[in-house]
Amino acid sequence: MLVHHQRQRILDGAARAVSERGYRETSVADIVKSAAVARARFYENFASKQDCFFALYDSATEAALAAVEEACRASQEAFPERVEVGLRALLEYLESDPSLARAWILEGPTVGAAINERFERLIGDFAALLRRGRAGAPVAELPDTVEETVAGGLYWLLYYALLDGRPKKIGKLLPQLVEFSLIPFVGIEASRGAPATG
Amino acid sequence: MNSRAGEGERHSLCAALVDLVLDRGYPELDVAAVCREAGTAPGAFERHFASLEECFSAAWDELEGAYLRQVEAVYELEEDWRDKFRAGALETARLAEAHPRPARFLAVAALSAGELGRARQRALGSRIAALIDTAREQIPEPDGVSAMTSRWIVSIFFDRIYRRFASPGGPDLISQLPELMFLAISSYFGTEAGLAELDRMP
Repeated sequence: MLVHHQRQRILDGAARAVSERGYRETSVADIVKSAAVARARFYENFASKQDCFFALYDSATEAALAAVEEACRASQEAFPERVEVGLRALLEYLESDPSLARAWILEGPTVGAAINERFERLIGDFAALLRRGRAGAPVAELPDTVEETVAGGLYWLLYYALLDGRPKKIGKLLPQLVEFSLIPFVGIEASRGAPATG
Repeated sequence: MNSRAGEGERHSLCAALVDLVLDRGYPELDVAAVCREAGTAPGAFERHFASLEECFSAAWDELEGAYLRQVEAVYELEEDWRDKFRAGALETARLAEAHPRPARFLAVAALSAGELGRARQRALGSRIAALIDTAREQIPEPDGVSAMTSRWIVSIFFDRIYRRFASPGGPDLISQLPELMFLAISSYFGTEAGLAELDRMP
């Protein structure tokens, strides 16, 4: 229990340090200072700064996916409404911890080639959720990778919103994100009729 | 040093910085490494740049300028917005596939420079988004289309370019264009117009 708590404390410290300084400029010293733990405790939990950042990245991906999946599972609505419910859960997750949101979304791509596999998995997992969500929905025959393209587009829209320093206002993007996610599947007119777009 | 030799030296330093950012990432650079890579004498750097940041910006300007000149040239040749956009997208894909190192620098490796690279990417994205958003002039109810639509289109294209050059392998950009065009055109002109793009691109 204590070990888990300590590891989480270091991850929280890493999120704050990376969010403030950027991944490349953050050192292990910055992380242990931010987490208020001894350097030795850091190395009991992680082999390196990169190892710690990857744990943070994986944990954020897993938690965000779980939040979206849970929200969608609880909804009995049709596909467009489930997309809205899932995206709302994602935005709430990002808003709940602005430091983590910046570290995860903004700093991931600065790591370099070592993050690529995780980035591909992130996009692929969210695309799979969208694909499962639209199973059975009456949509036109579309290219196999359209969900992946939508998930990738959403990622970079959120990236630029966070870059503009709007982590606390990111929830306001919901109507646009719902509309853009739905356009390929239900068309531009119906996508605007989805609940979030009023 | 005459002005042509000066320009050549400046270009060599920019090209060296691009190569080093691609191979090692921006944080691993210093002025001496850039001079060594460029084959210039130590001290040459200071004749052209006050800092590594300035050299990075000059290198970015060179590559971005070359890209925009070519894309804007094909864009201007067409009359209808959809033809303009299709030509610009195809030229972007062709250039990136023909010159993967500059493409990887602009889309991926520049991010290793942190805020410096992000700011340049954001500015380029905004410029392209403004060009894309002229589509509004051709739709009956332009206010009915989200203000963020052009940014969305930039995001879906950028995602494919980023992933193409971040990881080795994967499908080339030209083969991905029909799907990207479908999404882009659907966002302004509706599904029917978007679906027509699936058969139009190479």
